[in-house]
Amino acid sequence: MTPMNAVTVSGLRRAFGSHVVLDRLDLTIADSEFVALVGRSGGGKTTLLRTLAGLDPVAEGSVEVPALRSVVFQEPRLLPWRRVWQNVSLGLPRSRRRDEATRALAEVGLADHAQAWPLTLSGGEAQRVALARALVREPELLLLDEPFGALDALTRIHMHALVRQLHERHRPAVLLVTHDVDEALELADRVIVLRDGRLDEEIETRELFDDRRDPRFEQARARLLGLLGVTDTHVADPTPTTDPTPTAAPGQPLTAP
Amino acid sequence: MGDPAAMAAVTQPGSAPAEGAPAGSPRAAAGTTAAARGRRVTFSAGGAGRRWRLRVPSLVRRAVVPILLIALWQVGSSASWWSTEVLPAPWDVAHEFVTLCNNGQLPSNLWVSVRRALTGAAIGIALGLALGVAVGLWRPVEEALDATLQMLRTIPFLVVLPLFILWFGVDETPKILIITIGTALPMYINTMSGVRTVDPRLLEMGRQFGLNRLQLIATVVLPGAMPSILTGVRYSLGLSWLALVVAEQINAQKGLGLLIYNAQSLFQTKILMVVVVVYAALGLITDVIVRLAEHRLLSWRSR
Ligand SMILES: Nc1ncnc2c1ncn2[C@@H]1O[C@H](COP(=O)(O)OP(=O)(O)O)[C@@H](O)[C@H]1O
Ligand SMILES: [Mg+2]
Repeated sequence: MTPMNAVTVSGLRRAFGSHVVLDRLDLTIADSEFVALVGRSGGGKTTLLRTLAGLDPVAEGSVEVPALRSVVFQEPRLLPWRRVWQNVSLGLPRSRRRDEATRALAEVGLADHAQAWPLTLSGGEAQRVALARALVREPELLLLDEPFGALDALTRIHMHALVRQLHERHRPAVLLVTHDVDEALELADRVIVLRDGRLDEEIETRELFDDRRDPRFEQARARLLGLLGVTDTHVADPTPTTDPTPTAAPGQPLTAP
Repeated sequence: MGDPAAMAAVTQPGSAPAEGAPAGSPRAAAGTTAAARGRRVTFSAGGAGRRWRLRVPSLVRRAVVPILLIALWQVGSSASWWSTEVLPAPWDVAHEFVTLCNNGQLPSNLWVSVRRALTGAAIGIALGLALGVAVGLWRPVEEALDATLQMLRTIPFLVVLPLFILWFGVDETPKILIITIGTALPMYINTMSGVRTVDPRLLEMGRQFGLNRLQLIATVVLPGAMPSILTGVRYSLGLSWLALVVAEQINAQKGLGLLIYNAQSLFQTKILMVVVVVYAALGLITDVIVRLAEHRLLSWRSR
């Protein structure tokens, strides 16, 4: 099989007023490739992802993407008045809805929640439903915009494993936007850095993430952090800050029998 | 029911938990003021308040004040605090109600009026809903219609009734039309503001997953605006009875308006009171129906 590109972007430019966000940007993503995009906040990552999703217009340059695309945003965007399985099957042909939703929910470990209302889900569960909804369409390109940004650290670890597993099973091309360098290194085949409206660094991580003790892993991490403007490369273990404001009045424990 | 399942008992360390000790709600107890320092709260299942609520059903608790008022009314009539010519006793009103039912006057006229009000309200609600969705969703429609509709809203709609009679005669048309207008406007206002509050991110999501315009309205816009829409329905139905009363004052051939007209000219205050009670019951029934609809349609909100 000849390698094909799922995404081909060339000379993409986007400006809001005089503020140039994407400046003649080029990007290719191969079929089934998992690419992580990192960059500073406000650097234009979401703008790029929305353009690939077809949600933002292309004013200058060209963008070629598969017709079958799905997006997962930081917020799950579930319809609160539709049951979980109906959210997953949104827009599918009527005959296939029930079965495919059930199967997709089982894949993300939420088969038991098919009948639940979205408002009863935890943040991590809601995001898993969003993942199921994205994958049930068997997209050729999966766009993830900081999908774990609002989740706690433990849930995030579970989600990383799940996303990797789902990628291995369905093999879509993936663009994962994140500001978490470790997440990028752990999940992606390739990490790209968006800076000043361009992609100015690429790091192949395919062989790295299996062995974190590989010195190249730490090197890659340090380099990415440097590119993002974090000068101290040993921020892996930030000094714990003590919170001076107690959450409850002292001497007032709440007991619930 | 949203009754909190827990009840908080607050005790001050060092002070005996005497009768009348401050029993605060959990929210009130969560203060951080100096007074709250050192105080302890316990949340537990069951408590004095909870037991009272369990034993007496909500319906009974709600009925206490109306029943007391009716009792007062009866006592006042029996004790001749006022002339029963002016305000007949509740017992006599009930008696008159039965008489009017038996001789068929009330059922036949009530049916005519209810049909009138519901016809007008159905047209008005459908119209207001359609306009509200169109104006809320599409800029050109908003620019074309919103100013006009907002202007119409400032006219007390009942004042146009004499005009309608001149234009449309004295039969059903002006009566139904006035009810339609009275119900369409609140429906329009509420639907439009509801549609505007629908999360644009959900609309974007719906479009992105391939919903066409109609599907988008059915699965995202209308459910998202449903709380507002139901508020609109409640207002509209309330106004429909009001519009009915006024509309039926003109050339009432049939309907509750005819009953009122005849009773008024013959000083039959008992019949007038029966009609007043019937109107109150109609208002109450529609309100209960809307509440039930809310309970069903918005069940996704209770978690
Ligand atoms: N609709 C918009 N109008 C004006 N400015 C925008 C708009 N969307 C994004 N921007 C600006 O574009 C820049 C990039 O935003 P974004 O793509 O969201 O960054 P990131 O996702 O990397 O944090 C920001 O400076 C932001 O203020
Ligand atoms: Mg962003």
